[in-house]
Parts: sequence; structure tokens; C-alpha cells
Amino acid sequence: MTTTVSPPVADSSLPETETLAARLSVIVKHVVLVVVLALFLLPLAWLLLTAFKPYAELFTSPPSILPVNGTLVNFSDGWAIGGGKGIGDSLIVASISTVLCLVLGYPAAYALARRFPPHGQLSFTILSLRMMPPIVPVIGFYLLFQELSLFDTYTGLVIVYTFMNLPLVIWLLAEFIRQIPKTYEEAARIDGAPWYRLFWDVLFPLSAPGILTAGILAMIFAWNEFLFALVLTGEKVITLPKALASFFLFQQPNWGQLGAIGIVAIAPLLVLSYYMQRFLIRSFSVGSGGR
Amino acid sequence: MASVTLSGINKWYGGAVHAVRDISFKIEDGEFFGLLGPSGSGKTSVLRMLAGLERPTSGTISFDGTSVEAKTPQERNVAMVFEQNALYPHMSARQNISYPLKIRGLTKAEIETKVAEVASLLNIGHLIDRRASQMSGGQQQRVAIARALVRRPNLLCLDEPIAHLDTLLRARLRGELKRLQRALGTTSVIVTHDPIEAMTMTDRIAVMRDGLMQQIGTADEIYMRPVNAFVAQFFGLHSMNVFTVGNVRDAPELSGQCGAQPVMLPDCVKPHVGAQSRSVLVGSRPGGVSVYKAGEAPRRGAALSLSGRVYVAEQLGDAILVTVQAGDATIQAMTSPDYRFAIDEPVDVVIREDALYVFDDENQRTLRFASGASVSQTDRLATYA
Repeated sequence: MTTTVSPPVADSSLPETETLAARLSVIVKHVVLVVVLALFLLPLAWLLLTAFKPYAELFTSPPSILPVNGTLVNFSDGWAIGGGKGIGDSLIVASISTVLCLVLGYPAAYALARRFPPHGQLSFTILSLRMMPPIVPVIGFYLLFQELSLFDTYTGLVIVYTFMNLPLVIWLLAEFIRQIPKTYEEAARIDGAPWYRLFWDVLFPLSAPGILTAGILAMIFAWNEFLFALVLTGEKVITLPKALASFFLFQQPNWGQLGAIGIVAIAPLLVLSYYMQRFLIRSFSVGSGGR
Repeated sequence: MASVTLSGINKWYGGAVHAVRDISFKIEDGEFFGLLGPSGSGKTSVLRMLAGLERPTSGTISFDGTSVEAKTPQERNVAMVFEQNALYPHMSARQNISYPLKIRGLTKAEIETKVAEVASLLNIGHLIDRRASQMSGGQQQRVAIARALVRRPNLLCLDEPIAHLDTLLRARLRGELKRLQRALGTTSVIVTHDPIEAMTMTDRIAVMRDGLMQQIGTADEIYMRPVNAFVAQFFGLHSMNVFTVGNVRDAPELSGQCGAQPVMLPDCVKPHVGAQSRSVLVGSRPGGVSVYKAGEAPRRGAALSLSGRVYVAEQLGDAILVTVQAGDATIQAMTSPDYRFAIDEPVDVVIREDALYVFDDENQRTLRFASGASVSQTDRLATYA
């Protein structure tokens, strides 16, 4: 903006107000972002800090922000009093039900994607199963499981979580499969691929982002699930959310241990979400860049 | 390699769409056959039935006399090149080309030899480790052709393989495909909506419309002797001019009207004038139409002549395509580049008898073919832009 040849009046006045407005909007955006982030992250941060504080330091007034005498004892104690069992049980139930969801869901999703209209009745019906409040089927499950000796078993919980997550997995996978051009399948048929190789060589690799996304979501939902675990299991199967809740039952809970278990409970989710985000972004760019 | 016979093929989609109607033809062993038609003409459906991707609703398909309707694409040993999304995107060119061989259980060494062979044939050696996303459209199609040829198919199906490439590349691949097909002698069928592709590459062409076969023949046959007005207009670099002359009278001379515009007619048209309608459907290739400045047309024998105004004149390099609005008719003429025409300039249009086609007023069948050599030369030789 030094020595321009033709400085029209309208032009020179407009950009200044525009830059001012632009700057203001950037500032406002950042303020809103910080407030929203703080809202979500502060409880998490407090949990993290609590996990490293010894019991005596928890209720000091004024409260210490950072742990003064940092300790790892909450982690070992928390593990010993049920956190370890909770993590193990949650891993077993969540991973088996996730694999089941994918194995059962993929063929259904393929049929839904290739044989039915994209936003038709069937597609919606399947998704609507996921919209049902979990409290609705839980009573039925309880009675059934008592009859079938599935109460308080890994098998029972795996069945329930598969039932709960299958609609979403089918719906998600179908969306991904729909984006795969049919010509790839036709090319494979022409090349002589039998149906299982069509899936293995062409469809699975091309829908890998979808499989991963659906799998991670199913895993997270199963990992976090509390209501079914509370009602449908007893002493033998204690998943992590139930283990956490059980600390409140008898005495003033040790918040430090709870914090430690809580941190361990959400850590895998954070890692998974982080990788899912990266994978999703990559899958989008792959989808748009290459044919 | 095989000869392919289709007889009485019908294809219905969902009981409502009759996509292919009673099609029968034979493709000779080693022939390069073109299926030509506008979109929705059923040509792709025919190809997909040949390839085994779809089954005909009725009719029979046989390879070398053996019925194949119930056979899978692999059993038929057909190969196919698609218009788009032809390569598996998660595999390299090498993996793409190897895939049909891997399926057939060939050994690693065999696969390697065959892939190297076909790669050098198609000149894609330098692309062999790239993925589809790392190749241009033309390169992708070359690799797709390599994948099709690597297993020496009985029948090679080409579904608009070069339609979405840019003009220069399309022209080059046309030539390459034709040479390749000749060299290998693989029976091949290409589906295209582009008459030029069909004319330049294939031995014989089948023109389809609305699921119906219109005409089968060599490019010359179809070009010179189109069976009806549709084929005449669809086939060729430039559409044939076809227009109705109505209100035909005998006296004092044979003449009629095109809209409000009087038209002089040659005597050869006379037997074809509808008794009731007193009208006649005539046509001529742009190469058979002469355009003169108003009043300068030579008054000579048997010719159709009328007056009009220049709508637009398009420079094609070695010729000018002049579009004339004459009454109801829009007539295109291929003229020498020496003439210059201004928009809206009044002109006379003359179509000599030997360049004149006459079609049945009702069913559009050709009643009279042009005979002169003058009909086509400019049109045929014009640069494909």
C-alpha cells in the first residue's frame, strides 16, 4: 500500500473494515473455542490430576492444582481392587462383540448397499433399531437370559453388545460400500474371481476405512456401555464401567483410585479416536484423489 | 478367439424397460465389431450380456456354436475394459494385470513372463509399479487393456474405453487399439456413442436405437447406404441434413415448400412424394450441399435448390461448415475455405441429384440413395475436431 497508481475511494475504504471484521471474527471464534474446550477438558484434567494425588491431598483447602506429592499408588491399588478385572472383562466382551458385529454386519451391509435403495425403508428400519432407548430391551434380555442361563456370562454380554451395535455397523458399512463403484466388482467377475475372492481381494481392501471406522465405533460403544452390564451381569463378569460404579456402593470411594481407573478406562478410547481421525482424513483424500 | 452369435436377444429391466429388442447378429472370428448408438440405445446391455455380466431375458448367445448364456465370464474367457474406474485402485499396475492370472492359478514365473510381455506390447513398462491414482486417464486405460489382453481372451469387450479421454489422446488410442487388435486377432466388440470411433477402428458396425437394431454393415456401407433417416443423421462426422419438403406440386415445375420457403425439386424425387401428404423427406450430407451467394447459383439440371440465410459459418481449417436457415430447415454445407460468409447473409443452397437421399415420409426408411462420389469426400476427409 505504498504508491499505487489508481486508488479508487471505494476500494481503499472497504478492505480496512473487512480486515477489522475478519480479525474480530477470528478473535470471537477463538474465544468460543477456548470456552467450549475448557468445558470439556477441565473435568478430564481434574480427573488426571486427581489420579496422581495421594489420599490426604484430595480434600485440602485450598485445593492443590498440581499434585504436591505425586504418586502412582492409585494406579496399582485401583488395578488390585477391581480395575484390572474390569479392564480385562471389558476387553474380552468389547473385542469379541466388535468382531462379531463386523463379521455379521458386512454381508448384510453389502446386500443393503447393492440390492436396496440408499435411503429406503429397510435402511431406515435397521438404523432405527439403534435409536431405541437401551432401557426398553433390557428387561426382555434379563428375563430371557435367566431362562437361557446367559445371565452373568461373557457370552450373554457379547450377544447384547452385538445386538446393540450391529444396526449402526451395518448402516455405516453400507454407506462405505455404496461409494465403491460397481465396475470394480464387475471387473473382478470378468477377471474370474469367485465370490469369496471378490470380497477378499476387492471389497475388503476398498472398504477398509469403513471397516475400521465401524469397528472402532462398535468397540467404543461396547467399552463404555453401563446399563446392560449393570442389569445383565452379577459377580462373575464385571466390565470397567460397572467396576467403576461399584466403588460407590459401600463406602466413601477413594477418588484417587477412581481417577486412576478412569484414566486407564478412557486412554484406549483417546488413542483409538486419534487414529480413527487420521484414518478417516486419509480415507477421504484417497477417495477423492484416486480412482 | 471365437466367433460369437446372438439370436433373438431380448433384455427387460424390471418388467418395465425393454432395453434390447430381438437383436440377432454374428461376429466373425477375429473381427473387430462396433456397437454404436446414442445413450439408452441398448448397446451397453448387449455388451454386458456378451461378457456374462447380465443374462438375456430371452434369446441365445453362443461362442463358436456353443451356447454360453448360463456361463460365467470366466467360463466364457471374456475380458473387458470399462470406461471408468477400470483398475483396482488399491493395486499397482503390475498387480492389476496379474490379477486374472493369479485367479487362474498360474505360477509366479508364468505370471511374470506374461505381464512383461503384455507390458512391452502396450508400452507401459515404466508404469508397472504405479497405482491407478498415480497414472493419467490414458495410462490407466492402457493398463486396463493390458489386464484384458494378458490372458488371451476369446472375446474382448470394450465399453467406451476411450470416451472420457481428451481429444488428442483419444485419436492416438484409436489407432493403437486398431493396430493391437489386428496384430493379436482377438475377436473384439467395442461399444461407443461416437461414430468416428466406430468408423475408424472396426471392421463392421451395428447401429442401435431404442433397443432396436437399425443396421449392420461396414462403415462405408452404413455411411453411403443408411437404411433410414436416423442412421443417416447419426452416422458420420457431421449429421446428414434431413428435412421435409411439403406442399409438392407438379406444375409448372416440380416444386414444394419448406415452411414458407419455395423449394425446386429434381425429377428423381417425384415417385417418392406421398400421395396423401404431398410431402417428401429429403437429405444430403454436408459435403453434397453447395452454397452460393444469393442469385449466383448456376441454373443447371437436376438439383434441389432453395434460398435461405447463413445462420453461422464455422472455420474448420481445411473447410468451412456453413449452417443455413432455409424456411423450416437447417442445412449444413461443407464448403471450400475460399468462400467467406457473413452471418445472416442471403444465400442459395443447391443439392445435386447425385447427392440426394429420399426417405419415406412416414417410417423414415431410405427410398433413394445418393450415387455420386461428390457425396462424401469432404465430410469423410475433414479433420476430426
